[in-house]
Amino acid sequence: MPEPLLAFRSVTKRWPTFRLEATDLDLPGGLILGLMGANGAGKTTLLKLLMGLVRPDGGVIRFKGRDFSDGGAELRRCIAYVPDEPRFVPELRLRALKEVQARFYADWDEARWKGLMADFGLDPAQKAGQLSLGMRTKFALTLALARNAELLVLDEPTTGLDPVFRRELLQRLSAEIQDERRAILFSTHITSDLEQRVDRVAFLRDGRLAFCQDQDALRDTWVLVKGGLDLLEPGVEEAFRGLRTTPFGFEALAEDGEGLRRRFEGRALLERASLEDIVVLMGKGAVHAA
Amino acid sequence: MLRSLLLRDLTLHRRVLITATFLPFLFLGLVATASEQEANGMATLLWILGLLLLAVLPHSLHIREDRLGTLAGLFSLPVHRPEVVRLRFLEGALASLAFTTVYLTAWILLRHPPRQEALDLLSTSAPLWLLLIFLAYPMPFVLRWGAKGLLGSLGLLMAGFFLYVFLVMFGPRVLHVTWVATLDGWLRHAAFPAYLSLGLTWGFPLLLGTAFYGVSCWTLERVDA
Repeated sequence: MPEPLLAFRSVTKRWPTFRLEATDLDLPGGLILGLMGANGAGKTTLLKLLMGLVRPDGGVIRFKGRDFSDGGAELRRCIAYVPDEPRFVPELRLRALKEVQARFYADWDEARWKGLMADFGLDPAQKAGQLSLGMRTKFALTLALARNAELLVLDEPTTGLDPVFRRELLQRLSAEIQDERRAILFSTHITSDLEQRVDRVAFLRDGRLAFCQDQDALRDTWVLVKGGLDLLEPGVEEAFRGLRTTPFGFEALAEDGEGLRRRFEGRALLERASLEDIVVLMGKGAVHAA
Repeated sequence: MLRSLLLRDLTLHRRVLITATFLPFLFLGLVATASEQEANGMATLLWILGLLLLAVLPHSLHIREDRLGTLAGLFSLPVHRPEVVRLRFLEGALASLAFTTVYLTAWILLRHPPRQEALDLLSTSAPLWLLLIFLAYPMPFVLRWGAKGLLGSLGLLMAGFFLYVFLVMFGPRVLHVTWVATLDGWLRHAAFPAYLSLGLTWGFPLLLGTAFYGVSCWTLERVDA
């Protein structure tokens, strides 16, 4: 089996109030991997570990077959990163900030950057302090996309962006990975972003990777079960991966659709779970049986 | 890569750097306009003050980046963390060197003949000790705790100094023979030949500075951004 472009192997990070448990994740070239999870699930930590901003307590991260602990700086040359809240020196003009960034990368494409700035409606003469969060994210995206980086790492890049631009950006990202040697890893809260463009989805819950599946497999695997509270007999919850109850009934997420169909014999409604259903039912506040 | 990092700091912090550059020129102006007697008195004080302020310049740049939230951007660049430490040491050394150059120029150009006392300062290891105390020693603290680290490390230094003075003045008699005086005695008189004494007065701060550089690298490798 060929080595994936990016591989996390048993990566852990411990803080006094949070633990990212042994995480295994593969990202082959030519794919977009979407990272989902509630706030505080560990998405940003995972991306920061990859960028060397946070030091892992265990495990290895490999990129192009090389261990990050050996060649982190050289490997980061092939990676473009957009943080969740890009920060810049406020009194500097975007042109000057670009100059600073471009100096570090041999693959910097000036013409492309100018094109991106025009497309994103940004003026190089603007000062960074005048930009809103959405505009700062757009500017950070121009810096990331103006390089031919093999891996794009985007931490909630669509937050603060208007729906029109969000769609344009996702189209642009899809176009980026036409080259099979490149890949994109991005985290988001917005499930519709993932449903539209992402090839593979990873879900983090309380610092643990709950699953990592291709979109097609995801659609075939997960079912949403809805029914009355009388159906929640002892033992039935073990079949659910997430459960929410209301005074009127329950909603649950399960993998074994056929088994539940037989069990409930038409008394419960079973349908294909959307990503939103998965996020809600696997997220905080839900009961997790398995 | 160090050159790119240096250019990065020159661009990002040009306001701070321009303000810092103003200091030597202020000194130049003071020396140029003061009477000879006044200038002689002021020169040493201003030189030490200037060196001190410029030695902490790299710390202020790092703390500024910490406050602006741009450190994550710095650490995600394709550079090894020890290169960032080298950058900070280089910035301190360059700033101090530039200031000393201005100091020398001022004396040579503006005062004829240059006062020997002023020039003598340059042949001592005093600048090296200043850089050790105000640049190298606080560095690991600043890299780990930012502004709190700088204040804490300098506070610790002051506390140590006052404790030392207190013990020398009021402590048991055995402490009245200070280690500085003992060391000075060794260096000046019997224990070592002159070249070795010179080597020690210059070598010791260099050795300590190298140790603090190593600790700074170790610290920064472990800092989460």
